[in-house]
Amino acid sequence: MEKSKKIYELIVAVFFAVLSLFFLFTAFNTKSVASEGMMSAMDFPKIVLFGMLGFSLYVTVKNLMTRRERTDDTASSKNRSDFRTLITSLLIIAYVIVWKYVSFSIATWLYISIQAKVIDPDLKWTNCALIGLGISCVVVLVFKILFKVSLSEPLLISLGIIH
Amino acid sequence: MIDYFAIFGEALKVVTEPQLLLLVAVGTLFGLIFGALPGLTATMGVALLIPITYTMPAANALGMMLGCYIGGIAGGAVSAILLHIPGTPASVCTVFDGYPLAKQGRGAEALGWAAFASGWGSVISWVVLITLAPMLASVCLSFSSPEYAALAFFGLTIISAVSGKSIAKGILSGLFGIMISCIGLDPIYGSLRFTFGNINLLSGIDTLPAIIGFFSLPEILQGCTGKGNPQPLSIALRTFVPSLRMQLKHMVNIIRSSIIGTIVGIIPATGSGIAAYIAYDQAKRFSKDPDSFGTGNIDGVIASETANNAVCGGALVPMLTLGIPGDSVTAVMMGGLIIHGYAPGPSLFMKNPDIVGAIFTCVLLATIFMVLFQLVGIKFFVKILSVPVSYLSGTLVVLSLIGCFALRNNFFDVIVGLVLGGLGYLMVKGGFPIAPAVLGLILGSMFESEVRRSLQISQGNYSIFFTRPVSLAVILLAMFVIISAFVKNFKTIKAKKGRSQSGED
Repeated sequence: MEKSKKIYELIVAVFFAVLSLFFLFTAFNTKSVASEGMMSAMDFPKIVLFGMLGFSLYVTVKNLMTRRERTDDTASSKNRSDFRTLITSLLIIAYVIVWKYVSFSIATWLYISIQAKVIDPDLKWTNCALIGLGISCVVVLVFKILFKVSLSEPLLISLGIIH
Repeated sequence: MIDYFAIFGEALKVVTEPQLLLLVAVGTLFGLIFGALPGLTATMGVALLIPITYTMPAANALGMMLGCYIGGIAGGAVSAILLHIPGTPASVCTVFDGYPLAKQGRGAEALGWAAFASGWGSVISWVVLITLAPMLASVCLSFSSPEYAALAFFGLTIISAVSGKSIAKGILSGLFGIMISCIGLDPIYGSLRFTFGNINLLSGIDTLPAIIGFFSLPEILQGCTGKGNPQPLSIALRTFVPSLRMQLKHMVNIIRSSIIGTIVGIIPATGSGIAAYIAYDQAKRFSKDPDSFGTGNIDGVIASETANNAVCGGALVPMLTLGIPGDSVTAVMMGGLIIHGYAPGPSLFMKNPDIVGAIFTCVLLATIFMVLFQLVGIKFFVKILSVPVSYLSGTLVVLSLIGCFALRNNFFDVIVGLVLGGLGYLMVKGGFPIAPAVLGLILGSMFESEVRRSLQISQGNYSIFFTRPVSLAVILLAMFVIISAFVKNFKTIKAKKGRSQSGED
């Protein structure tokens, strides 16, 4: 198994094990009533969570016992792609925060422009900004104006640009 | 006595009325756009059309809504194939083979097949609708909680088919999906489960944001690591319109998937997503090359798209004959029918054969328009693939997150999509299949509530599942699926060990 896949597999398996333990703890500490002979509200989740815990432990143990194979990936290209993924993830989180508390249309414009520059650093900032503006205008037109999706615009409302 | 002459008279009137034809076409186009855009579903499209069509004559209004319904289900294939984002929950299975085909440069071919398969599914279920509607409706309505529970159990066994190389990881992923479906109010007693005081969790985790998060964000995060190399695409008609010979070659799959879709559609509260999963699983089992499923087998696209559109005709059967909606879209459409003064049910065929005739004809017309629009649109749709990754990636994130938000206008759904998307990325990197988690999420709550309802009926006696013929037959079928999956997995491991040992020698 590849080194990176093995690490991710271990992370996910451990996460599922911890999650199922936490949910089991919650399930056992939640009062649930049921008529005689019937399943209570927490019985079914408990069965599922025990199954989840069992399988996640199985995957974890199997992962730890498996030898890892050497991969051909050079360290620098791997680090670069992991860095881009990390930056993209942070950008997405920032986009959601700006959308919620500042303005959907401004957040969309900024996000698309910056994301394009992150993926392809050779692009010019002006091109990124113009194309980002065009895409965000189309998105706002389709979803906000045509399909009446209520996308939040607190900044534009407070500035009196839209009502 | 059903007045068949009046039904056919109305059908003739419909096809010769330009205004109605235009409205059906507009409705179908509207549905296709709704289906193709992530987060906008056919149910939402039909609901939006109710106030718009309120003042129209009933036949025109229903024609437009039916067009939106059929177009909405079929349109999901566009984003599923080209962007790895299922436009609707019905097109989840289309992603499995449609997207790998697009990556191989066969996106137009996959879209062409999706259009034709959707058309075949609609036409075959339409034939069932006009010929066997009353009989089938009464059979399927004899289904009770044990049968539903058995059906959901059978659906969950499909996890083995969509698990990929590791069944253990597939089951773990499926159990995670079922666990998510347990969040919210308990379906029987109404107790709070895993809500942690958060009001947004009371109604549970919605399927659509979860699907969008699971499928789109991992793909975007993986795609953002390179500039991509957009190829100029020249699309010739012959490359995406399947020939008659090819259609005949896949006819067994088309008919099988249509039957599955129609039956699932007739059973109330099931839906096109479940039909697509079952049809995909059956297509894989009957295939001579099951290992190619998930890597770009056109039969996977055909099975999924045929079944999800066959649900449309099936879902109209109980709606028209018994006044019970087959799925969420027909529930909304039933409201539209009532607004126009018609009571769906057995009396509709006797008292209003004209409206029944109009519905029958509009379903067929909408199917024709849907196939035509999809074929015409393919040339434009595939242009998406030639957009540079640098711009496409950001746009897809925006579309995905709006898709999460648009369903309920609730920002919490965006966070759900984001969290599950992040987890989905880690799962993909770790070799965990995503499809079982979605399957568990879709079927988990149905399975739990129907099992518990059955036990209430039987006073806690589990034999209720084995003493009813339909339930027993479905459970036996599910057991067969589970055993055959484990035997196959065992054989694969044995063969792998044998190969590695001979290699060492």
